[in-house]
Amino acid sequence: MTICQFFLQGRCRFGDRCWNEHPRGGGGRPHSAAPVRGAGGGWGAASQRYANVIQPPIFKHSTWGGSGDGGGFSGASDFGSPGNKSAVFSQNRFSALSSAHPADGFSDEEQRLLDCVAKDMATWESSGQWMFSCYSPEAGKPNVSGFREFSAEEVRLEYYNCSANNNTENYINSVNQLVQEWRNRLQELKALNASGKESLLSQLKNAVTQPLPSLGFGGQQASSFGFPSFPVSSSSGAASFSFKANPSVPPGNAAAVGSSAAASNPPTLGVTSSPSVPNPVGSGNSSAPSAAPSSLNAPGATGGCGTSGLSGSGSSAAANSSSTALLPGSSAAANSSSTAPLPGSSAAANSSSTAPLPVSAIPSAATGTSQSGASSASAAQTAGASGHNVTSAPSAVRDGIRPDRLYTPRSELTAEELRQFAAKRFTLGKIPLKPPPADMLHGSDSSLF
Amino acid sequence: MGERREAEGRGCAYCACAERAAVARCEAVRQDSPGPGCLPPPRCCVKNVSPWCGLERGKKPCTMKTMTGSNEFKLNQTPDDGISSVKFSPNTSQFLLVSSWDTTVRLYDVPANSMRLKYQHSGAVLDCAFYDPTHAWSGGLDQQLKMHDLNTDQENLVGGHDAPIRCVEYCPEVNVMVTGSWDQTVKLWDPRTPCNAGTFSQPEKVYTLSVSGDRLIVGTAGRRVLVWDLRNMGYVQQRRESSLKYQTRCIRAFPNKQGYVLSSIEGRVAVEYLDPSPEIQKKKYAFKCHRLKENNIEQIYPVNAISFHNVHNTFATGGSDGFVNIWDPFNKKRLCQFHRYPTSIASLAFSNDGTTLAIASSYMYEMDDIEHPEDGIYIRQVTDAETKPKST
Repeated sequence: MTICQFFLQGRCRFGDRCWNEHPRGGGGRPHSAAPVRGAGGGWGAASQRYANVIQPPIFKHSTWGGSGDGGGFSGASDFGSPGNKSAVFSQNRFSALSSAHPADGFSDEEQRLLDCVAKDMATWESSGQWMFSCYSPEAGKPNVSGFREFSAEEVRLEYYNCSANNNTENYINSVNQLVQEWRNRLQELKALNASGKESLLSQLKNAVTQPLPSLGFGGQQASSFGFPSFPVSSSSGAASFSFKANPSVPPGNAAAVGSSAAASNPPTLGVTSSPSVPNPVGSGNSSAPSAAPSSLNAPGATGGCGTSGLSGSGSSAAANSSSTALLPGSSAAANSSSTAPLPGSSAAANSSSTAPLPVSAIPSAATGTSQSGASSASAAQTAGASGHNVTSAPSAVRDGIRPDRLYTPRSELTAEELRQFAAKRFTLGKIPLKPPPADMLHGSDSSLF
Repeated sequence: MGERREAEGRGCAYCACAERAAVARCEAVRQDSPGPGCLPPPRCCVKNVSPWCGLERGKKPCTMKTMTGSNEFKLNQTPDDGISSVKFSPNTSQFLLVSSWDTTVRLYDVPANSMRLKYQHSGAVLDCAFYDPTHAWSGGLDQQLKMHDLNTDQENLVGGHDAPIRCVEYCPEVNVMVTGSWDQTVKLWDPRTPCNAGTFSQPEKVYTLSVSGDRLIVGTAGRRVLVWDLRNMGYVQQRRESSLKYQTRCIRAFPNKQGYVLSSIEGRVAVEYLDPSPEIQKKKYAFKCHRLKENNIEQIYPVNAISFHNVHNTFATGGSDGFVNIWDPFNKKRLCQFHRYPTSIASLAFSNDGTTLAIASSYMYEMDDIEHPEDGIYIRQVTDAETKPKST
């Protein structure tokens, strides 16, 4: 982003809304002459200041049919919560879209995120909004863990099932339980203590898994949702692990340090796994994830993150995950794989690193990188399943393997799994859930691209 | 589900007056002149009498100017339970297909305000769609996808999913029916045979989907959005994330195939474009809507339904606050807001020519089983003034 000349002189009239970069160093000069218009309040038309920059539009309020409140749109992607006007924030309203921006306000960025989370939680609580929803503080950031997601129809289905069996108290209890869980998690996020903040930030930035502490995923399958007859989330539970590893989160985060690849997974894991025991989701929750990151960071997470960052923030998620998955922890090999056999994606990576989008440039990248005829969904599946830290954790927990292992020794793999790893392509339905043995990874990867 | 006696019986379904003769009692419920926010009375004993003007109803909807305007009327013989989806026939605004939680799918003749046909599923039906003017497809909690010939009243069980079917849509360009389900798959069906033409895994439960030309946009749990090319389902064409912070409620594609509109449970709607190039992506935006300020606290309602006007490319949104708004996405303005409906808007549908809007006002159990106003389907004739972008 270009530096705003007016801001440097202390007289930028767009203030928060300005599309240019307001570096913090030059910002300590409040200028009384510069009228700062609030972000949401600009009902008048904003005049174009710079010929080559399109400011976020402010729209005229127009009413119809007798109802007069707030019909206008607020400009641009509305991620900031209302009233987001305090001057401490970095000017990058679109930091997710801008290029690899060295996070000079590293702690500011974090602080902003945390503030945003706290504000959103407060609004969520007071507004009577649907509580069973996933949540992410900003575009491009993964979902925050600990929130279970259900649609209204699913809840209604549960109600109907329970009333058909005449156990509505059961339904009411389960719902109350879930509401309690939600409330706990919300309170926790609203008033984050230090370790909570740590874990949240690491969740949002790093490619780290968040295995929900005490419950394990066995609990998930046993009685998901706490309902006696709730088919959906139990099936989704099993399937979700390999899918969760699908780093479909657009890796366009400038601020996030290559968080894209696995960033989506940890929080979404939290979403589906069910604390069938309604734990007071307090310190237990926050400490465990923070412990987990540290252990998982060591082996390959940094490598994984690094490679995913390198292989191009804009290229397809499948490409990312596949390159990281097959070569976890071996950044050299990952580099070569990411640069060499992916001609399309490196170009895509470059272009998208300048303007990374939430939309990964899949067509070019996917065609370039889809190593198997299978859809990138399955490629991501395999990626997720075979080597990614994230899935390795939950599937590890489920299969009783230690979560921080990147490779499985040959002895632990069945013949079928070995055959899958040895084959040129994975067969849908037979994709192994454990990471491949280390010796299978090097030297044969050229055939896979 | 409230105390409902049999709707077809002789007694009033709501006030328990034994016979229709007790019209006087029901009339007591009705006000002389409806004020803003008045609800129409139960439809029982007063069914031959217009709830607003008290005159006997003729075959045509009551033409007296009422609070809803003479351009709006309520359909008769609405389903007994919540309405999940309404769809107009593709080539005419005469027929409306309605799927409901009372396990039926009904076909209404709109100008005549009568129900033409009704068929059953074994579980609540969550979505329905027209393949052509004579065939209706529907699926729901019973996990079965049924095709029904509306002329011959023949039913055909086409297939199913492993979990409730949440969405059913038709793609005319590729001539394929698409269903999305909570079993995390999208299935394609060839309507001519009819048979399954493929199963495609999604990363999460499918909550909504929409067809745009030959592309399919799927909104799943976890705020994910996937764009598939229906002619080449081997891989996902685009993997995106919703630009809103909360659960996706509904996605609808622009008729001009440039993009789609996505709504969330947080009273927010995002307009996004399909072209991944940066200049186009810069145009995307989001706005807040369907929020009410009560006692200084903003109540946030999910935006449950979106429907596009085929000609003008403007769209209507309906939320759980009971309001319907019409928006102009190009000028980024709201064109119109209708009066408040008795309860949450569950579904909206513009007719193909854009002259009629069907509004399904049906409590969605967001707050569990409480007493709620009756569900209803309102048919409204919309004018250009309400739906056409202002060319200033």
